[in-house]
This record gives sequence, structure tokens and C-alpha cells, in this order.
Amino acid sequence: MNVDLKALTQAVGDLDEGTVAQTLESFVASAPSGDEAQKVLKACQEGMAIVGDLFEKGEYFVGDLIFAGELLTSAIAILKPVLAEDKGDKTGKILLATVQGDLHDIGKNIFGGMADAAGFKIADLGIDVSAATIVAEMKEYKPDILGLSGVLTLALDSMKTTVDALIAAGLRDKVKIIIGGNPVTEESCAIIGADAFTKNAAEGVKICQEWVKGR
Amino acid sequence: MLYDQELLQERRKMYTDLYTGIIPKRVPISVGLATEISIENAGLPLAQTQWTAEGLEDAIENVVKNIKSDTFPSDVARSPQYAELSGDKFWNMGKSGIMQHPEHIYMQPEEYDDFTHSPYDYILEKLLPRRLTKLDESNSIKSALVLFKAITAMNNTRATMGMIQGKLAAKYSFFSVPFEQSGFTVAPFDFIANCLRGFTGMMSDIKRCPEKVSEACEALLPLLLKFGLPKVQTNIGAIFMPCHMPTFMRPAEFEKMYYPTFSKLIHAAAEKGQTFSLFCEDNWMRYLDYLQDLPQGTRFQFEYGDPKLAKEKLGKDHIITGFYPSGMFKTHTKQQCIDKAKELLDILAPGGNYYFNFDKAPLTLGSTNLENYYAVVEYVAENSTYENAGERAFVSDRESTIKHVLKDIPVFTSKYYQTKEDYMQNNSYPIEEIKPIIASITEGYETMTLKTIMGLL
Repeated sequence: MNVDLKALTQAVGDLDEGTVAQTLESFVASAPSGDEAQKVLKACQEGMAIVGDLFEKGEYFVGDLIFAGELLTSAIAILKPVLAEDKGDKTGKILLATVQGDLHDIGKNIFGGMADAAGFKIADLGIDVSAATIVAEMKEYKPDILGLSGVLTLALDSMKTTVDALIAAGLRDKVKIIIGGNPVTEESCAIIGADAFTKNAAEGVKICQEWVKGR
Repeated sequence: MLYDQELLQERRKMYTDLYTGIIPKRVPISVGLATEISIENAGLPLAQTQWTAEGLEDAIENVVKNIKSDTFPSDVARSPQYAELSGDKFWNMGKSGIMQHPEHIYMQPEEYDDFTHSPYDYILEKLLPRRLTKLDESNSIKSALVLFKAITAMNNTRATMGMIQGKLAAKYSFFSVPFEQSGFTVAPFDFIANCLRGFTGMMSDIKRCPEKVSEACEALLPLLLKFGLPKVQTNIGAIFMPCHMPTFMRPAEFEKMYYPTFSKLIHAAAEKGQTFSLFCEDNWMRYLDYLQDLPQGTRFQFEYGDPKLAKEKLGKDHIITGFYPSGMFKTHTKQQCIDKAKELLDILAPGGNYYFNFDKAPLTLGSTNLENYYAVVEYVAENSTYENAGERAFVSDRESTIKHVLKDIPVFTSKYYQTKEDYMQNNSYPIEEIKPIIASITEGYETMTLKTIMGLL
């Protein structure tokens, strides 16, 4: 394989789009095996962990997380023709939604992208999702973690309604719940009855990793 | 009931003092409240009432009468009528009945040159048809009618709100700045992010084509200055500018792409005698040194951050507000909410150059607690008297804080904007001697049209 995996990981971490694209294009041109392509993809995904760390250190900002997501999407697009089928050995399953009444999805998408890169299987229900829909999807998808997102203060109400609906449906104990977005605080997390809260996508992914560790 | 003249005079004096750098009688209070809260509080259907305005005035009065604010606890008028009649993709009503603007991309990155060539032309020719889905490019009559209906609806929404505000201002003696002295605009970078490229697109552009972004910002400057400047320029009125993107960017990116045209816009208005009032969304503490460089009297509402640091850096020549975490109303006791106000007053009030407001206006009834809201405002109204009222609060000479940038900003031009001179050159009129008057009036309509169109975006 003609790829320096460490350098590739670092290039993703540095958000060096030119180097990443060049590396991947010449890799694809060398007609690699599906397994080799999986290794290269993994190296790219590991670059996202560098991005997350730099974000937590305050060297990167939200814009960098968004661009990193774009970078990874285009990397996967380049690799697609040579990628072997995903064997499905995922870290854990996350069900994601922006709660009812709120139409914002940028934060949710950043978190979803980073959690995906960290090996989670993601089902994203989109925006303005009712408690009833989330309960139904919980039964169907059986996630390990439920991520509820929102930007408006009204989202806090909908998050509480959603958690209450899960309790009523007897599903609350079957899942860890993390809430995220601008209005969430420690106090609102307690009122809502979630297990964790974050305003920071990278931190959110770490919390989820802790939860599924050693299962 | 009409104005309590004494109370109104007292309030007017407080704001005139505040805005001209004198320590007022007490800390002035200008808090905000979303209209949605009043509607919900009255038990009216949220979406329907935004359409019909039935019962709206009473609903608003029932809340506003309890708020000891010195200005009307106001809100930006959102118009579901406009959004529906124009098919504007930008504004959507969620299931909760709240109007929101989810992310859309209206301009592709390869169109930057086209946009930069003439931003106003691009807005009219490309952006409006992409956003307003009921416009029909194959049928100009239909498009003209749609635009007429949509603008009429927007104007009606604003007139309804304006009338309610005016009546209640008269009844409760709220101080207000005359309409002709107030404006609204956005920083060039925010315009591109909000209206054209979306958050995600913009965050990629600043990595992939930073020069194009900077060029587009420069090109937008004449238009956004023209849009923002009110008819009458004073340091009492203000151009309100919500600032969105800076905290999502790296400081180096902010310095290179956001700040140059943001700063020029504000200094150019100051050269004309006009003040800016900025809403600094999120936490701006890493940008305080840049804000220090803005003209004396510029007002900043901060959402999050360190009030001590902001006071230290901006307390001498600028006016600060905000920082009060309005989310507390829901999660804390009345006493805790009042204690928080006291804590902020202790930090921000000394030396003047401060008025009380929250980090942002609460948006829905379920996410706030009006009793705590009222109690906090009342506490501030009764416990923030200055003992050194009348002393000078600003320290610098105003002129020395203004950069002369107007000379570097090109005059606004567009093929869709006919100036007085254009009119004089290209038109005849049966009574020749009144042509200059007509030219001036027609240019007034051009400006009004420009402001109306820009006000839709």
C-alpha cells in the first residue's frame, strides 16, 4: 500500500484538504483491495479525533468541526469505488433527533458526523421530531444512546416531553440519553431527566464512548 | 390614557445621558420579550394569532404592564403572512408555531465573482427567485403581483406591531427613539453566511476560497451601509446589528475576513454621526480588543462571557449590556434570579456606560418563568440609582475614536437603482423647473425599495 497512514491521519487533523485529496486519489488509482481501503478510511476517521482534541483545547472552533465533517465526506466519496462492504462491527448505536418545535440541525449534524467517524452507527431522524416518533423509532432501532438536540429554549420543553414519553413507554431504562445544544445546562439536564448534557460535539462523542466502553 | 409626561421625561433624560456619555439617574432598563410569550400567556393559539392578530394587543399588554422596563419590551416582527405569500424558503413555521430559519444554501461557491460584481443585482436577479418560491421567472406579471402581496403582508405585520407598541408606549410611558433615527443591517460576512452560503458553506469557503470571501465582503459594504443608515443620523438612535459568525471562526480568520468590513461599516456610520448597537451572539471575550477599536458610544449586548473583563476593556468609551442568563428564570428561584441581577449590577453599573438587559429575549412561555422575569426587572428599577449622576462617563474625545473610512467606500451603484443624477439626465418632465424636486423624490423611492427588499432577507 502506497499510503503513509499516520501522515494521512495528521493531514485530516490539520484540515489539509489538498493533501488528503491527493493522497486518496493516488491510493484509489493504485487499485487497492477492499481491506486496504478500510484501513485508509480508518486513518481518515482517526484524524477526526485529532480535530476533536484541538477543538477541546480551544485551538479549533466550530467552523473547523464543520469543515472537518465536509472533508471526511469528500474523503469517503473518493474512497467509495474501492471500499469493501462495511462489516458492521460498530462501537454502538445512536439515535439522533432535533426535538419537536426546533428546526435547527447544524449542531446535531456536527455531532452525528463526529460520532460516525468514531465508529458509532447513527440513525438521524432529522428536525422537528415529535416524542411519539422518537418512541416508535426507539422500539424499531434499539439504540444504545439517544441524542436529543435543539437550539431554541423551547427545545428544553420538548426534550422533557420526549423523556417523559420514553418513561411512559417503559423504554427509559434501556437507553442512555444525551442532550445537546445552546440552551442546555446542568439544571435543565436534571429537570429533563437526561443522563448527560453538552454544548460541545467533541465532548459529547467522548461521553458516548465512555458509556459503551467495556460492553 | 396618555403619556405620564414626568416619567417619560425622566426616561428620555436617562437615555440621552447614557448615549452621550453622562452617568444617568439610575441604570436604564431595555429588556426584550418575544411576542410568542404574550400570545401563549393569554392562552391564544400561537400560529393562528400570528396570522390574525386577534386578541394580540390585550395579550401583549397583559404581560408588558408588569415589566418595569424603560423602553418597550420589544421583539422583531416575524411575518408568517409574508413567508406564506412569497413562499420564502428562509422562514418556516415549526410544529410549535414558532417562525424559524433553518439552514439553506442559495449561492454556490463558483458564483462568488458574479455576486461580487454587483451584490444588489445578484440579490434581485438570483437570490430572490431562489428564495421566494412563488415568484415565477417565466411570468413577470405574476412575479410582480406575488412580490407586491408579500411586501404588503410584511408591512402590515410591522404596522400591526408598531401600532400596538405605540399605544402601549403611550399608556406606560416607554421611551422610544423615533423611527427615522433607527436602522438595521448586518455585517458583510454575516450577510453572506446567513443569506447566501449557509453556515456550513461559509465555514468551508473560509478555508477553500478566503480571498473570494473577502472580496465579496468589500463589495457588499456600500449596499449594507446604505441599507443600515437611517434617514436622520444621531447618536441617540442606533443601527441594530446582530453579529452571528465570529465565535465559530478562528481568531485569525475573524481578523482577516470578518473584522475589516465589519469595522469599516461601523466607523463609516460614525463619521456620519450614527451609532451602532451590536448583539454579540455567543461568547466574544476573545474579540474584546477589536471591539475596543470601534467608535465611542458603540453599544454591545453580550450573550455569554466575563462581565468583569468586558467592563474593564470596554467600560470607558462604549456601552455594555446583556450577560444576564435569562435561562435562570426557568431553573432558579426568584431570589437566585434577583441575586444574579445584583451581582451583574455590581460589576457593570459603576461608572455608567451600562444599561440592563438579558443575554437574549426569552422566546417561549414554557422555557421561562414570567414571575421571575418581572421580579428581576423590578429589582433593577428600584436598586440601581447612581449617586454620581451627571458626571461624565466617556473618557475620550469622540472624534479621536472614529476612523475616516468613508472616503475608501465606493458610492453604491446598481442598474436597479436610479440616482437623482440619472433621473435628471435621462428624463424629461413637462414642467422643467420642478425636475430637481422630482429627481430627489424618485431617488427617495429607490432607497425605500432597496431598504424594503433588503429588509425581507
